[in-house]
Amino acid sequence: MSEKTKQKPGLVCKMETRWQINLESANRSAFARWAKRHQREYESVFANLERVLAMLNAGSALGSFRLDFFRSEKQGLWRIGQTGVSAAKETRLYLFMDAHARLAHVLGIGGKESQQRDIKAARNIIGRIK
Amino acid sequence: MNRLVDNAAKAAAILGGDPGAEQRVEALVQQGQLAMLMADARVSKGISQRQLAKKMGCSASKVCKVESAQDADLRVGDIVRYLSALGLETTVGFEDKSLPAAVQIKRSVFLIKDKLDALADLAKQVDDETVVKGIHTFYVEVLFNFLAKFEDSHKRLCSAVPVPAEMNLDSKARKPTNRAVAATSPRGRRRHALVGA
Repeated sequence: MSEKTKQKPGLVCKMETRWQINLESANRSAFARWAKRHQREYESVFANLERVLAMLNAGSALGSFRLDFFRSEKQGLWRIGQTGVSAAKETRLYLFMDAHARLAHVLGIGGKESQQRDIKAARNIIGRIK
Repeated sequence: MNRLVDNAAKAAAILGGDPGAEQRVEALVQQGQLAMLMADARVSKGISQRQLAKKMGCSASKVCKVESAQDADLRVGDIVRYLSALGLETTVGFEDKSLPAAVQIKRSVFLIKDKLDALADLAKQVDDETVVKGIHTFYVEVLFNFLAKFEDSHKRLCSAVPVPAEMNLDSKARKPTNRAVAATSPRGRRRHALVGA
């Protein structure tokens, strides 16, 4: 149960847990490789992930807001792109956002050219998580 | 490996195998702080991006662009329009970090005094007894909060560095110095007002 509800007479206080990031499904060596080759883009996508989590922790529901760098790839799969990096290598961080458990599962990272392959792999992981 | 982490900077450091990444990602997040604060204000008022766009007289994608921007890329006009559509006033403050901490604190105290004076002036125009009572209660609340916070901060100071013997308030009651007596006399008060405390 991700939401705890405390009840006092005449007062209902709903406490929501903060979103957390689950790293279990991420391939560490793929991330380390990307971080080494495209450091600025790698850091930018994670900074943008923090901004997404800040919106969700502030009370926005998933899917109720839009951010330029945050896109749905359908079936629970989301991608976060880099911003503010000049001459950037297009970078996508793939996530499965479990709103019920308030967990952002990090699935993979990749570029534009490997997009189809990365999405397919991410969907396979989501199938296993579900 | 930590399976669960509570922020993206840590996640970047763990997955990238580079502990330095945590600090760099945190710095990047700071660069988008203003846009995040603005989005936070919108969410706390329960207004959607679409509703805000309508109030601003622009498209929802414009609101989305503002909220996605880095602080350095935000335009002052967009900030003012965004906040004004939320019913918030934009005030610009400059903080001179080279000023001594004591001067910064004095400025903050004067700022609070100005706000309280403005509230007192407002109370003059109020006819409602309940509201006036509420303002009086609020003044007491401000004093209480200030004393509580001051005590907290003073304790922190005392635990960090020893209190000089002559300033120790717990020691036996001291006779007021000539200087302190002079400061409380009308002439002394005038002098203080001119040269500062």
